Amino acid sequence: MSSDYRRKDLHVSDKLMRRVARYDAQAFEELYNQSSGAVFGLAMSILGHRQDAEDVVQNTYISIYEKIQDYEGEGKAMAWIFTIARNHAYMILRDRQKRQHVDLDDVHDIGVETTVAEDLHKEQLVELLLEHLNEDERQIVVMHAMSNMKHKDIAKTLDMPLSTVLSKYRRSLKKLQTVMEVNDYET
Amino acid sequence: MKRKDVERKIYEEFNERKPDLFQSILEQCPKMTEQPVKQPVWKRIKDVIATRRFAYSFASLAIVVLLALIVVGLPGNQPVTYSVIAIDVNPSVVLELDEDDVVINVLRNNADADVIIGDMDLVGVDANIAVNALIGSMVANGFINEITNSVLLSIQSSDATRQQQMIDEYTETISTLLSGSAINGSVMTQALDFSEDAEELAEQLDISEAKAELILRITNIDPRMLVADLAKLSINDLNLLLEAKNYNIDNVRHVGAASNLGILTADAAYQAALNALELDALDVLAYEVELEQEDGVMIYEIEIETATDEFEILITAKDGTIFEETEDDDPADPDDDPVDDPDDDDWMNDVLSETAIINLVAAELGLEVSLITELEFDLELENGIPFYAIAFVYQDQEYELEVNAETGYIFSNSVDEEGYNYQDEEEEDEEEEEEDTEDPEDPDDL
Repeated sequence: MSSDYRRKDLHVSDKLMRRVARYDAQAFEELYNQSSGAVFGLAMSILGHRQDAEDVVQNTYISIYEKIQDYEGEGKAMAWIFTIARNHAYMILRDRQKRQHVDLDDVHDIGVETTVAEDLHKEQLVELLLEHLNEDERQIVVMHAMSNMKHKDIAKTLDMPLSTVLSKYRRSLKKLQTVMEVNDYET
Repeated sequence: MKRKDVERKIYEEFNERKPDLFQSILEQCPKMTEQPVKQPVWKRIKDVIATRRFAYSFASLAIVVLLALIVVGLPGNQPVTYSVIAIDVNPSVVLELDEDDVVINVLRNNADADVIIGDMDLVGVDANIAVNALIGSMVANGFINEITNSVLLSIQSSDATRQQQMIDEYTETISTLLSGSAINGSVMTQALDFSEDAEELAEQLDISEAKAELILRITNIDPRMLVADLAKLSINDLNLLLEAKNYNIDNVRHVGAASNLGILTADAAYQAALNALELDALDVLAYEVELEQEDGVMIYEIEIETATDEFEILITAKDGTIFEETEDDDPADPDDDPVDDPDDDDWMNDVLSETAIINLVAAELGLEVSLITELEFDLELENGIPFYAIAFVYQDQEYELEVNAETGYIFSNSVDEEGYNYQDEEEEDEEEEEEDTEDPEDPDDL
């Protein structure tokens, strides 16, 4: 495999989080570099819209800064960060739904309704994820792929039974394997 | 396309497309400040304070005040430490370097360091020359030889890119030096963090910070290991242990194999076990030999199965005697928790079933459970942590894993490609082929 993909690289250590808690800007940047891809991926898998996903990234790291003293450790930094990111993503989703509701009432013509799939900006992999997986499946796959998070912790974060997470994960990866092969994704 | 490739693709694509927002985020986080990577002068003062000779004495106070006055009085005159090279064999030496890789300070961590440095004045010398001199002296004084051939090289630099370059360069330098002295050396490398935990541990157990960091990294991966036990092991023993376990530890790598000339071979240990148990090899149906550490001693854990009995015995790796575990606990103390008492079944309450464990393992490794064959489980308890030793075959590959029985966390995996001592089948085949071609008397070649 030619890539520099390394499972060990995806781990955010408690030591790094302690440095962030001491307001060490360099540590904060390290945390951003290590984990923002995962936060962005999770936000895209929920919202499917780049600008909204960027807002989630921005808001997530500001929340981390504000709440870092509450982080209790135990090696679950990514689970904590994902929880914050999901909350921000769902806030944006709720706002979006409210806006659409208001538009409908006031304007009676919303033109082309903004759908997740139409805001893809030709991001092919995201398109595949959105097209072939449901929201739970997307989140499970992205959390595991982006941070090597344990299925047990994903289950806790998503408030699902472990067995459900495991079966959704397996089914999703099988689906993606098939569609990526059909779409001629290089390995 | 494999499952791992799908995950890799997702990982790469989102990381490539992630937004570059850090500066705008930082502007909204006013408490965040740039902090110095290291404070060499303060650390030097701290090192002085830490020595027993000076601690609790008025003399140490006077020296600290004097040093502090020098520091405060002469700002800008102190050379700033840009990089640090720590070399541990048993002698333990730390070189502090300036931006041009010139030695500005030498720290001797133990008495053996005094022996190898002697009268050498390494301050002002190029780091490469200093490393050459130190390794040369370690060889000349018998600290590095064919039996103890492992060197722990730990490096920290203010520049992360330079840090990796230095690890590569000095690994090469040390390997070349050792092979020039007809020693098949093994260089273990790690990026040094100077973490507070490691500093505390180093002080507490009277070991170097570099060794303390390595030990903490091992116990993070495998909490069944105790820091106090690992601290008793030599650098070569730690290297042997990491190889045997194939641990996947961040930033810890090695070149060359740890010498096993100072310990029995697995076959010799098996023979010692047979002798100790008064068994005939012809009566043995199956056996397993694993190199482990117990109470800071390298041992072989040997399991033997005969038609009527199953035996487990610990053989001391260095001399082949039966290893007897030390009993530190007072048996009369009611507060002592008999965590490793296999007769006390309480620990089994939270253990996951074999089916649940293999499902978790398969999911974690991206394997199809239905394709797993020759599956074997062994439930054990180590330092209060229940774990499964699992062996199976998957697509013609043999797996051996140790897995936390309560959580499914994989402590060690013989087939972890990122592991410390991972060799894939192709490499092993190539090595076997090389060995075959090198041995003209090998009957297989005839």
